[in-house]
Amino acid sequence: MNKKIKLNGSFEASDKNPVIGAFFLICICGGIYFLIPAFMLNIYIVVDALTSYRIDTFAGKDYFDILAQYYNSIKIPALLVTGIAQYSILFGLSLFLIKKWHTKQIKEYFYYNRFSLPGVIVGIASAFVIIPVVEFISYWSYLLFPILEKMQKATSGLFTAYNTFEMILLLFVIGVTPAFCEEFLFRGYFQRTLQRKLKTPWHFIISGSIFALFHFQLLSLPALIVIGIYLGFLYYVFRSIYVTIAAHFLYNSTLIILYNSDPGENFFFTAAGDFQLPVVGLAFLAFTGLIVFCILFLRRNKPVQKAV
Amino acid sequence: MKSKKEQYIQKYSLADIFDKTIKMIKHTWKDSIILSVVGFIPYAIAMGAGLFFYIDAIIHIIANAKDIYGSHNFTWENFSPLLFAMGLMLLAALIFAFAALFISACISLKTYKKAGGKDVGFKENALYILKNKFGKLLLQGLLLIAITIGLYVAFFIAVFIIGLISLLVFKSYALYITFVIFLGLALLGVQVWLFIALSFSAHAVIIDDKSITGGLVRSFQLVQGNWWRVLGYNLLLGIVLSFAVSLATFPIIMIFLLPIYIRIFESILNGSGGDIDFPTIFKALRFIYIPLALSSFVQAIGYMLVTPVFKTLFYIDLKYRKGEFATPQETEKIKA
Repeated sequence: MNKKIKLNGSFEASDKNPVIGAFFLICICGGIYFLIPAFMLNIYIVVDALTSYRIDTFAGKDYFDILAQYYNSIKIPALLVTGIAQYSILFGLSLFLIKKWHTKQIKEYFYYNRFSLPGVIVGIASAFVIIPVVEFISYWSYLLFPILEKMQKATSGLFTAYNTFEMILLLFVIGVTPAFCEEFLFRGYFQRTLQRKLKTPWHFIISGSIFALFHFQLLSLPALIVIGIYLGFLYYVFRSIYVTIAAHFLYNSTLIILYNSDPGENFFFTAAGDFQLPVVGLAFLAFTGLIVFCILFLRRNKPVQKAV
Repeated sequence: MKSKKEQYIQKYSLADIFDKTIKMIKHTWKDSIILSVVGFIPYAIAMGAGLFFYIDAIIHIIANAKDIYGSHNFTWENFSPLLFAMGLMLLAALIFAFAALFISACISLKTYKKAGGKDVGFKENALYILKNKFGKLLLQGLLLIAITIGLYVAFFIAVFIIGLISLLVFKSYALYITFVIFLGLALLGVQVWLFIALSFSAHAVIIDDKSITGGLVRSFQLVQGNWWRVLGYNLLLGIVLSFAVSLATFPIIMIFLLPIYIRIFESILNGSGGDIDFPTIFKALRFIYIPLALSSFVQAIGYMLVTPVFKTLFYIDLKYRKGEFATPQETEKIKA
């Protein structure tokens, strides 16, 4: 039974537009999320540089080696700060503001009370299918600017695990945490609020694009836009946040595992570690198939457009 | 049914002020954009040119680096391009200050009139500000700068006196440094306090026809009892705007920056054994003026679109809280 959600926050008064509140909330949380961790991390870097770095460590080394060494040295604090910031700001602060501005019925509003089994299966399948597609979309930058591949390898220290503890930390901070916090903020709150006022497909296109911009990564931007819009589309179709949590978690975790393993040349991968072209082609086909399935599912279970 | 006047003249919560700001921007955005484009294009050009010539001057100095320390080579030719570039950047800062002051004044007045249910034309509004208010606002700005300079002078005098006492009487550097740190923190505190207390001085001149010093007093009176609220709202506005503007501008800026980064990485790679080719890096950086000028232009427009409206509504809120809209005469005054 569809129980009516009590919307009694300050942005829910009859003379106010909750979408304005949603945009402000994203900007407040986003601004603080990028400001405070960057400040904390910079303090760590300065203190660390003053106390432990020595000039002769860098003597005679290639710039990219120095960069890789640097990223590796800040990996643990960077991961910890990111994880804490995601839970405290993207989840904690936004939860506080949502309760004040919109509703206290978080479970119902965010679709935490709906579990869609077909949706979760599609979410899991999507995570695996979308990786070759996204990698293929991202590959353009390396073709145009080969030097960026070397740059990317230098920064890879941030995502490389050298022991079990680092692997668990990476999976927790990059796999579990964004799946929980970013889905809470971008799909559960932002898209859900846009859905109340904007027509389909604008709510998931806008929320997906802002989700992509939020990552501040130019070269991955086209791929992130695809992922953001697709996750928004899944959320709209299945009306369950567990679908996008599952997809986001598996996507990020699979990338971390792939990054830290060397599968060698086989049916899936080339010797350089890229996906084989037939695999990319199959992934595109499967991705199209999943979208078609979602559209058919939507036709059979059409959500009421303006329902809260 | 509520009238337009009643919608805006009220006490504002955080949600109210965000909501009403966006609704008011629907009436003011055209004026903001036209004025910002006219005012900030010269600023962006001056700043871009300043950056271009600044990096060019650095390249010139590096190229002549061997001679700079020679007895007769510390020449005007080596440093005059640097001074020229700095002059251009100073000019850019002045254009920015003038443009921001004028645009803020125009949009603030328009917002206040609209809040009272009255529409004012773009030309009429701009001419009124130019003829009647702009001179006053400039003088008030200079007065605020003078107050800030006065604070710094007082700080340096205090540091000097404490330095003398610490070193001559107590013969202690540690005591001197401790005092300087505390004085520095006190200076920062006083500056923040003054910045917030006087943040509505210009609005008092524009909206309430106050004199230059009367505006400062008026702002001080309105903020009294609301100081933390004003600080909090200003901080939130700053966070929201800086994040929203960077979200909107970062792809455009990064597309322009990418070729520059790539040239820098290539020149770093070409250096062997840690030797970095600095002249090549600076040559690549020479074109950084395009993204930086573009970014500051877009940022300035973004800020001008929102800040004057937000602050004017906040000014109305503060007046309302002080009971100034209690009488029908006051509400009628806005209309007039």
